[in-house]
Formats: sequence, C-alpha cells, structure tokens
Amino acid sequence: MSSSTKFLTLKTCDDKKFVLDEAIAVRSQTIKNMVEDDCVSNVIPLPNVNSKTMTKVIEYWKKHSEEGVSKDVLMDFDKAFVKVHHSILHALILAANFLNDKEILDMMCQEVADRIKGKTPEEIRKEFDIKNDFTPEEEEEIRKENAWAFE
Amino acid sequence: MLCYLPVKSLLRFKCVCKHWDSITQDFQFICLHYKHSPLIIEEKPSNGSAGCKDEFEPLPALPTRGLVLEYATRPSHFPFSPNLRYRIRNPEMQNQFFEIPDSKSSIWYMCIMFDPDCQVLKLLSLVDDRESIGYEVLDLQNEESSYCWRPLVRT
Repeated sequence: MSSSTKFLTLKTCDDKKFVLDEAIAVRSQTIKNMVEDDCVSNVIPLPNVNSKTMTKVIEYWKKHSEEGVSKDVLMDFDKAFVKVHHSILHALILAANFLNDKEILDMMCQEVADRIKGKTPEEIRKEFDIKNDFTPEEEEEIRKENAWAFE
Repeated sequence: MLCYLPVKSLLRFKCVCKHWDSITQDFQFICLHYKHSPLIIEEKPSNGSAGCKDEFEPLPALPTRGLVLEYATRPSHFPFSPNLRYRIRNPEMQNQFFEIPDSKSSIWYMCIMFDPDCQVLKLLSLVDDRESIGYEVLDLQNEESSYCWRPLVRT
C-alpha cells in the first residue's frame, strides 16, 4: 500500500460517513485549510451538507481527479452534472460555498444564470418569490430606459 | 448569481424589485460582473482596398460576453502612417457602439483595460506625433463631454 495515501472521513449533517482520499478531499479549500492547520482528527463534520449533496460533490471531485481524462470527456461530464432539479442545484451551491470549492460554485451559479437569463421580470418574481415594490410609473420608467433588453 | 448573467438579462431584471435595481448599480457588483465577463478584444480590420469606405464588417462569430474593440481602415492621405477608425461594441447590446474619437497624433496601437482603482474602463494607445512616440489615455466614463485623449505622464 502506498505510504503517501491518506484517507479522511467526512460526516454529513444526516450522520452519513464518507471515506475519501485526502488528495481528493482537499479540492475543498475549507478541508484543505483544516488539514494544513492540523486540526483534522478522525472525522470532519460537515454540518451544512447532506449526504445526497455530498455524494454529488464527491462524484465531481473523483471525475476531475482521474488521470488521463480528456477535456471533452470532462466537458460532457460537467454538462450532465448540472442537469439536475433546481432543489439539488441550490443545495450544491450552498455546499460548494461551505466547502469553498470555487470550481463547482462557478459552474453551478453559471447554470442558474443560464436557466433564468431568458425569463421575464414577472417570471423572476414568481420563481424567487419577490414582491414588486415599484410603483407602475417607476417600473415603466426603468422599462423604457432599457427597452432594447425586452426585445 | 446575478453577476453571471449577461448584460441584457441584467438590464431586464432591473425592474424586478428595488433591491435588484440597486444591486446592478453597486460598485462591488459591477466589479464582480466584470470579472465574469472577460474583455474580448477582437482586432478586426476591413480589407481596406484603396478608396473604399471605412466600414466595419460584421464579425463572423460574435462572442456572447465582453466588449469588442474594432477597427477599420479609412482612406489615407499618408500611406505610411496608420489611419484607422476605432470603436467599441458590446455584442449583447445590438448595434449600439461607442465611436472612439481621434487623437491629434497617429495611433499605432490601442488596447482596452479596466482600472479597478478608479472603477473605469480606459483605452491606452501608442501614438506618434511625428517627433516622438508616447502613450495616450482615454477614460471611458459616463460623461460624454470628457472623451478626449490625454498624454500618459510617467510618475
């Protein structure tokens, strides 16, 4: 057995444990800091991440840590990875934010942006449950200023 | 999340609510959005046969984000000096563009950059006033009256 391989145990908020190669787990800046500061004992608790989300994150980490995977394969993997229900998408964003994994965070935020970019202001309000606090006159004014954006 | 949106969507979402409207005007947001919208500087010369009109040809493949600095040649009376017309365009904003004013000197080269200290886009050009070569700067601010080239003084 290779002497350089170290394993970390991550425990999610629903008490599921994940044993993971340290070299893969340090894709999370949060975990990396803990390892570097020597404050990793046996189990790393992840109080903000559930096991379903963590499984997805680890799936991503493993794929992107594989050796000899072509860029095209990774691109296809990423494309499929973001095609999830929006509840999972939001959970992944929160997890990536907590784990401080900029790569996943960027990709997920871009996916949300891509999903909403074609919507109308009315659809956005409905989707995010936002109350329109403009008077009709104010709203009309802003719409006029940016009329081309509504074409 | 909003900083990942293209400009056109952002402007449309300004009227979602007052908070979203104010976010789009927040300096930190603008910087973040800028970070996600890399400047694409496309150098696009026209084919420039003698006497042709100084027209900008449409780009074959438009980038979806960022700004394009375009140039076209115009009929020149001084065949040995560069005589180009420049403009900046945001491909997302349809045909809106900003025509860059001429400098008193000949412009040999121009590039676009973002100055995070004073929050403005700037144009930097290498110029030749027939005696010496130097740099000139133009600030791209909202006040249209102030668009003029000034020499870059070394400090």
